[in-house]
Amino acid sequence: MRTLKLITRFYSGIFLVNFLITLSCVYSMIHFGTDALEIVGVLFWFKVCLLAVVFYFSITNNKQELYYYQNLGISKLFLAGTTSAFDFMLWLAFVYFQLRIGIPVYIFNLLLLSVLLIFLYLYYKK
Amino acid sequence: MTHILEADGIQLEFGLRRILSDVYLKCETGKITGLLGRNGQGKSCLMNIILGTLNSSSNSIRVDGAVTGNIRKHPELLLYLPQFNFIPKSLKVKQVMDDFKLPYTDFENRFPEFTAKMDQKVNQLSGGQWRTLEIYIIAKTPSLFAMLDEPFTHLNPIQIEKIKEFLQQEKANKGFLITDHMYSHLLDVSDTVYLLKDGKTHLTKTIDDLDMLGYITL
Repeated sequence: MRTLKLITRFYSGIFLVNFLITLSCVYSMIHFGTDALEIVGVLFWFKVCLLAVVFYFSITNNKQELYYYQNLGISKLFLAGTTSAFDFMLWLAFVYFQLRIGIPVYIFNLLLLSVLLIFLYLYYKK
Repeated sequence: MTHILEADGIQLEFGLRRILSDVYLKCETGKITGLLGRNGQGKSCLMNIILGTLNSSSNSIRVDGAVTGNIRKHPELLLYLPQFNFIPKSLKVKQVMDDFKLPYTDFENRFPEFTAKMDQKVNQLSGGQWRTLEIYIIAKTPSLFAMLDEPFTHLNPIQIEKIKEFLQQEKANKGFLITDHMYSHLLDVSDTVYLLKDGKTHLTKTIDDLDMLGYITL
């Protein structure tokens, strides 16, 4: 339970940028409409590469704080593995449902607005 | 039962420059081992090699005689206080204590200046309080050994005395390996002191040994 809490805390620091990347993939699929399946391969590599870039920068910027997680028994690789796997699953779910159902764009707009408002609230609360 | 952490045959080079050559160091539970050395002699590098975050050309890190690789993955064996602040600044003091499963009341009793500060964020504390909190969690969290890199930095003289007293009490629960430039404080608390010079560790007993080895001038 403690491990889950710590991973969630670390992930919350990189969630927004990863979520925006995921949404940009979905918006691209909406833009391509019925031809969306053709760009899934490109979007896959786009997502994978940016996952690595985001994690690299989060590690570099929070290098000192990684000792905190290390002293709690959570290694850098474990953090990378779990957060990347979860984020990729989220991306996969969005892409899958977009391909299968074709979720209307306003739902994603609402989702984006909600997430941005929550982050703004948390930022000012901090 | 006494446990022993040994670092043996450590060699480290950066390019053509040899930093450590055939270093030996022993740390025992129930004791504080001090490590002194001038800037650039490789004290922090040695700690990172023991921790497993820095690769060296040759090393043998043993706990109770058994070679232990990647000791950083075993906080029950070794905890590490780096020379910089490592607690995420956005965390509250209470959250930190919860993460390490340490009761806040014990902390308050030990360091009364933290009374009513449990809801404060770490970056709202003074530099000395921040460091005190870090030393406390590393010293109190159960493990066989703890390595403290420059623990007295940012602390005022009163805080240093409190920390020295605290470490003397806590050494009953684990073995400490401490490095700091404040050699007089380190000598006060240490049972064994090594001086790192010219890439080798020299076991020292008195302040005269430090003078003889050129670390200080009496």
